Amino acid sequence: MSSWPITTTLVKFGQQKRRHRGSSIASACVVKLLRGIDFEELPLPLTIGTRPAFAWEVTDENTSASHAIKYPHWQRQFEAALVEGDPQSLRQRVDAAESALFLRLQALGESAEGDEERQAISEAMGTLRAIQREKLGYPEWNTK
Amino acid sequence: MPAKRILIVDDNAVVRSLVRRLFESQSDFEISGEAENGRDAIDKAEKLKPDLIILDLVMPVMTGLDAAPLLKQLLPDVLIILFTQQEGSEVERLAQAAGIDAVVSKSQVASELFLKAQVLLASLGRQKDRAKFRNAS
Repeated sequence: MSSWPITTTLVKFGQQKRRHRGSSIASACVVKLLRGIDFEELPLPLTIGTRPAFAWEVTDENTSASHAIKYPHWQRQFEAALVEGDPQSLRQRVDAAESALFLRLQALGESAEGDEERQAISEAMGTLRAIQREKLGYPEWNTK
Repeated sequence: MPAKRILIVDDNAVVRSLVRRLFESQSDFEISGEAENGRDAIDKAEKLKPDLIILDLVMPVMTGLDAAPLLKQLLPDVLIILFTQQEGSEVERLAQAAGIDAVVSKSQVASELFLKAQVLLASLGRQKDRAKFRNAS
């Protein structure tokens, strides 16, 4: 892999943002609020441990037979968090995955087309919560 | 009217940054600070005295639900919006019991958070005006 696409997700988010323009009132509303935000400046880590924050590059080769990527905006970051063995880097991996999921949800807005992906994001979030609780020592919120 | 001061509490820097930029784009609001967990929020709230706290639920050290009653004790007039990925009646019930004023899901478009903040602050303003009127008459 010759280069790491640090901004892949954010660039795609920007494209999504443009596609949404005018598609619905809700989408237009969020686009209005997000307009002017320079997503390049959001504090996504460039590297985690010794590896880039975005563990895989979205290319035609690795999105095909070897590893099917259904949700390119967040699936790689999520899988990187799942396989992270280094406890020092795990928090950053989980944060990067959570960021990608959150940004994707915002990009999906309230469009009806994203229901299946929203469900997948919800399940991925649940898994990240379990990692935070069991491996990162986050306190339980629903013990009362 | 002075800008309403907001404290953003979330362990995720990207979420904090996005919320900050949403509110900073409006002159009615001013971001007074950010905190990374419930304990940090209490320390910052004591110093910064915000009008509104955007509070995440799941955070290291102290959750939003544990921090909320302590924040209300410290600043009885502060408004708290729980901005969380968790949804459902259980979260709503626990949030209400903790003194939280509103719950907004992170799966909703971010503009919902913004609209909720405006509605809550306007409502608080009306309550204060009514109280002033009652005291004067």
